[in-house]
Amino acid sequence: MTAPLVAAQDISKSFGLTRALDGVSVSLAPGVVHGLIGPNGSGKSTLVRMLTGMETPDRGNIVVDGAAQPHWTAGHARALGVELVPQELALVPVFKVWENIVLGAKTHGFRLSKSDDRAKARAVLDELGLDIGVDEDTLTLDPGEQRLVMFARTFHRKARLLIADEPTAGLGEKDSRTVIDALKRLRAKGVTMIFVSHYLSEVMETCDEVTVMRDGRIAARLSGASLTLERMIREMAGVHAERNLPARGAARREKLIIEGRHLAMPPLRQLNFKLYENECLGFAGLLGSGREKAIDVISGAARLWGSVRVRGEFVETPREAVRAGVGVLNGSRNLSIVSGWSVLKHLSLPSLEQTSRFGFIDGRREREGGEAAARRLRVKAALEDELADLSGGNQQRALLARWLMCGSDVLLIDEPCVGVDIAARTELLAAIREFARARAVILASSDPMDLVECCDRVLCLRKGAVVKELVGEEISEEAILRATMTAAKATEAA
Amino acid sequence: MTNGSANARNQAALTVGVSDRPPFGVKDDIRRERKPPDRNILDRDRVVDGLRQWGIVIVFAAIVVTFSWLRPTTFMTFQNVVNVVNNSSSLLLFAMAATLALAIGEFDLSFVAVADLVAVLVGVLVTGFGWTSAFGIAGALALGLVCGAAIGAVNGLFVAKAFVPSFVATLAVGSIAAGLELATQVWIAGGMKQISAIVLPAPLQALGSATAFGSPIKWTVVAVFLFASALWLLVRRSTPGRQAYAIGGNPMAAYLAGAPVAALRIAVFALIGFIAALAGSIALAERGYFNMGSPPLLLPAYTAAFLGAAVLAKKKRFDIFGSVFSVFVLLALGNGLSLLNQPRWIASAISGLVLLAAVLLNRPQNRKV
Repeated sequence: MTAPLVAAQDISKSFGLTRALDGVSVSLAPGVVHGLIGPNGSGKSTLVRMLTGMETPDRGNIVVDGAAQPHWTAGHARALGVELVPQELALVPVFKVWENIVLGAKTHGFRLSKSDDRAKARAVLDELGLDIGVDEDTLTLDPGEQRLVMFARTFHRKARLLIADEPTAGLGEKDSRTVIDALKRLRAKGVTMIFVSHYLSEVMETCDEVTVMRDGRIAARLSGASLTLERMIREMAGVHAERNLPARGAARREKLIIEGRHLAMPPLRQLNFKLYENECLGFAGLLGSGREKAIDVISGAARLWGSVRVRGEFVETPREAVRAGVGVLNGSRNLSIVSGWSVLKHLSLPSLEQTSRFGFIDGRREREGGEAAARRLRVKAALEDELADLSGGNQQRALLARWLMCGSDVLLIDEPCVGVDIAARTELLAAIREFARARAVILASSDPMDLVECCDRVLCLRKGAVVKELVGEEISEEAILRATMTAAKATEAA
Repeated sequence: MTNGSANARNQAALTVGVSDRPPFGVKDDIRRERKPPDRNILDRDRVVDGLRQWGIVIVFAAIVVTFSWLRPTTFMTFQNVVNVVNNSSSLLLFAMAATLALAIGEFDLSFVAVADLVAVLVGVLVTGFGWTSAFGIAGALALGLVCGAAIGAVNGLFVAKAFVPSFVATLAVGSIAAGLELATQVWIAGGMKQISAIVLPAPLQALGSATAFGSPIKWTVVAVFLFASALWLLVRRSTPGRQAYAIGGNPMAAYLAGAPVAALRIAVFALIGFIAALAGSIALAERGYFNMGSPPLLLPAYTAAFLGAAVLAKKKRFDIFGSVFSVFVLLALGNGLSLLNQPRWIASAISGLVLLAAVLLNRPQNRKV
């Protein structure tokens, strides 16, 4: 085996109490396409940030061309040709393609030469075999082609190691195909790459070797004969036998609470579901499967098509939802947190209209209600503390408590455990379960374990539509991964 | 730079090595350790904190002391203070309007133009149409207030329903209002007589010059203060007020929590229009004649609102009380400088510097972009 181009040696990194990486070593031989997979929060993105110099490791080394890099920064990484293509679109939409390709490259002197830059951009696109005109408007390209422009930009800067962070996330079949085909062409040209992805069939297609990460450690290194879809799923799921799973609620399905019909909001194409009383219904799926839109579509915050009825009444907006007794808990808490506001103000915001007298806030009632709700969900903070300063778990519990205070009897929850540490996660999921037993919950999460621990029924989404319904004992991490991560054909084969 | 990062790494290694924290995953919330109180009064953090909390009060005191010393016979006299207070109603109302707009996270550039338009409208009704009786004047004033609120509601509709950025929508509406005002003035001047020579009816003039409780303070100013108190109560203690602040802090959060975001935005802009109309009517009554071009109060109004938010309240919240206080800081500054026979631009420049200093003191930490 040839000497590695870039290697990470025994890297550890902690954020607060969370051990994001724990003694991780990866080495990348030139010309090899290396797949990096793992559940959310397994440390993939932290590792990528280490390799590109955006984070410094607590322990361990980055080695480039056999030389350890003690002061590894983003600038060094770029100078040595380690380039990241981020998951988000990083293009200037009003620029021409060539302008986006040369953007951020070192210029020679102050003067810019348009014809020079165009020619260089053309040369890069030709070399990569990409069929995109340099004078096209970036905005009018397909989403897949826009990703390719981002690839081309890194090669214009002379990338030696290309790190593609979920380049197909959020893309449809056709655009994913464009990107995957381009990656395969790059592989044929001998480009060294790290391919971070959730789509295992794509990983199978493009990668020579695969590192599976779980809980900040390397769970397995797969290559050659050991590199199979089955094996990847098994290693990602790991062994969770020690977690005692709650007994599933008997599927009584007596009283219909929410019925959603023909719901759509790109990338979600079609969603029909029914939620019954005393049930926790889960939505599983990767980013881009439509799962991330499920809660918004149901609450009415973002809905292109379809109808939702709560106990027979149509609900069109979050306001109507709240008034019909439906509370929304958002995964990205920056959508729920008002900067500078105390815990108490957040707790009372949805219930203000119920408790106020002649439109004026009853300070004593507000405080009593807030105290009771915070106590029930064990929010460990004073009511006057600023919510934004609390830990993730506490924030999430406070934002859950507000709906108890409001008297909601249905909760729509999206990504409850993002940025919440393990101990807090257990408590939070227990609270959600308890709520579901008494009332009803819809839970959408990209982490299958959230769903396994809470749900009585799980709808698995892939590429915008429900592909499988798991009920009761069928729900397991493996079953969810299989339904959401592999293409329909691959599922049949397996 | 490299040295610093090496230090940081060493420290990180240390904390990993000899941690007295509970083991991984046992305790949920690690509250940040509070620094032990520092004995040194001139500790940098304490000074900055103190300036943040009391900065505007210090500035106000400095202004008063400086001008009392430079102009001992005129600045802190009873008559001068009464003058400043009696001339404060327009800026006070405009500052409240600016505060309301900023509280919901928007801008309103139209309220000064709306005030002028309403002033001309009321003036035309009471002179050109002969609504000179007490009832007529009351009717004209009421109509003016309704008009102001309606124009404000139009602003609100553009912002809340058509999602035009408030900066643009209110700029457009304000320009239209300014145009209408000029057109009306031209029409009056053409059809009747010289506009500034038109005498307003006596009851309206009396309304603008009457003083309260035997003191030399005008009734109009007292009314503005009462209005400010009511507004403060509404903004701080009412449900719509709280929800409006939520919209200003994070509109999505307010929306998802079930607040009527669109209705509240329209209502707040309508309220701003109402306040503008109030300012216009009061200015007309206080002056007693049609004005040709009112003083430029848009920028001072926003200066007062930002100044109040930046330094008076620890929470950095746009607040009626803070804005009202800041208005008097600006007025004292302007008055003092005019007593020193300094040109107007100096007052403007100094208030700009004070605002910059206030905002820099409160700049967000740890921002990269």
